[in-house]
Amino acid sequence: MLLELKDITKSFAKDDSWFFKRYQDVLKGVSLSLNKGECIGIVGESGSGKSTLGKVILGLETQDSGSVTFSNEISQLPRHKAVSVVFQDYNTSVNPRLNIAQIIAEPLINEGLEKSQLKAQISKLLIEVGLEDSMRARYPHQLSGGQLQRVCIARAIAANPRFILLDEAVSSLDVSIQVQILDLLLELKQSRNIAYLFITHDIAVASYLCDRLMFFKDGKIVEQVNDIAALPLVTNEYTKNLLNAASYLEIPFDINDVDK
Amino acid sequence: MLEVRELNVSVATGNTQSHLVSDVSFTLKEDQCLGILGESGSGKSVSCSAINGLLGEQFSVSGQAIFDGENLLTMPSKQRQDMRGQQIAMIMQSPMTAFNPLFTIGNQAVETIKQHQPHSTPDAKKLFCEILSKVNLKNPQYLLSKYPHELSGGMLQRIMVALALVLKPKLIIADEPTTAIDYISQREVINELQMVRERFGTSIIFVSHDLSLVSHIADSVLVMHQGKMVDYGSTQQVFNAPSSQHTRYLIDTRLKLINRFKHVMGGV
Repeated sequence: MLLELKDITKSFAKDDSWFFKRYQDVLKGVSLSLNKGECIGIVGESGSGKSTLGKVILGLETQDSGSVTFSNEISQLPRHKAVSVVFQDYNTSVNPRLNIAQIIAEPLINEGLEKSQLKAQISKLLIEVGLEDSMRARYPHQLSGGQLQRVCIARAIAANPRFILLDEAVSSLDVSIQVQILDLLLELKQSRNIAYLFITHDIAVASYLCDRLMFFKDGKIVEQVNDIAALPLVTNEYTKNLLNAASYLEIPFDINDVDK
Repeated sequence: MLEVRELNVSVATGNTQSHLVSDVSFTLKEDQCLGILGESGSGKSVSCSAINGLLGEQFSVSGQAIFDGENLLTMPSKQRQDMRGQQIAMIMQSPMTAFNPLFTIGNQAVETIKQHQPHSTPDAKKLFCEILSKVNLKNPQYLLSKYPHELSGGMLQRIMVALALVLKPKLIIADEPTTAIDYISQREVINELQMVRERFGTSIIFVSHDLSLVSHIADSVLVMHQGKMVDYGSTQQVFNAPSSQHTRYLIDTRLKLINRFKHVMGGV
């Protein structure tokens, strides 16, 4: 076990009045456990509270009740070394005034890496995420979306975390680029034995990457699919609706598939 | 109804001219839907904005876009503004930023309607309510009193479709209308557009990077890559016998992405 959440609740103040406050419950008792090297997909629509859950795990928000427990192996580490994150919006998650090498260097410097080793380590990370070493001097605005998301992934794996939170990490990319990034994530999962918590609204993307799926609605996990092969057997009304809507993913007529 | 011939768009950056779109031509017949498919940066949005006259002065546009016998690209800007909304409506990608956050939905709808038609405020409201119920949005009065931040992205996008419809345009240009919203809302927006086409006979240009969506809604498809048109034909024809390498690539990556899901779901 790498991470365990028990009964997490969180509410936000709706509007501040002088005399009373009204609260909106965003998370209503969420429990889950993530094993080493595993990938769990949290699938839900916008506004269901899935990103808030991510923030609670990262320590960017504090839960009202419940507990976030990391395994012994990583609980002694500061949170930023145990957990890393890749956000949806790659443009706003990097500093536009730093070049690519500086962006990736930040967690490494935090780790206390010597300056002499820094350059080699950055090259290694760039190559690991499928970028060329010559990119290091460029600035974020000179890169395409897919390339920039690769930089964010390189930064996320720089401190060698056991666990990465992916908050809609491929949602702003084109379908053709999504596949490339997902393949990269699968590769890294294998080679580095990293666990992922993959937050997404896209069921196809989730089933491409994840071992287990949890369907999230109104701040609760409404259904859990432990084996992806059992996906068609879901019982919850919302989950069924979601899978039905995904039929739009298919192309309504036969097309010649070269692979077949 | 709309015929675009050799549309070229370039932009001046510093001292050089960079070509964004070169030689795009297509025809769109009445109550047909054209899908424009391409990755980001392929020039699909720029083409649409050029046709609709929404590009700034730094862009230079050449070619022809004949809409009902008139060339849109050479039309004086006043005439063009009257045409926008009235004849050609546009649906933007991000519903959250397309509405003004300071005014209610009702307020903004009335403003749009009054711009083009001599209605009184209550009449305009009534008209908009009718349209909202026609596209199956429940409780229109309640929606009118809401501010954009109080509604979900999917809901706002459906309201945007309704607002595009209210002036009964002949053509709707939908620029990535479902990219920013989740699946269930996506399906609702697509259904709404389909219905609009059937009931009002509106032509649609549907711009997207999502091959599956395009294959569902479009009669003909135009594939763009790096500012050029690489494939154009009926939907079946383009997907079954793509003439360009790039279309093949788009199809293959899409199939790869959905294959595991399809495989799992096919096991029932």
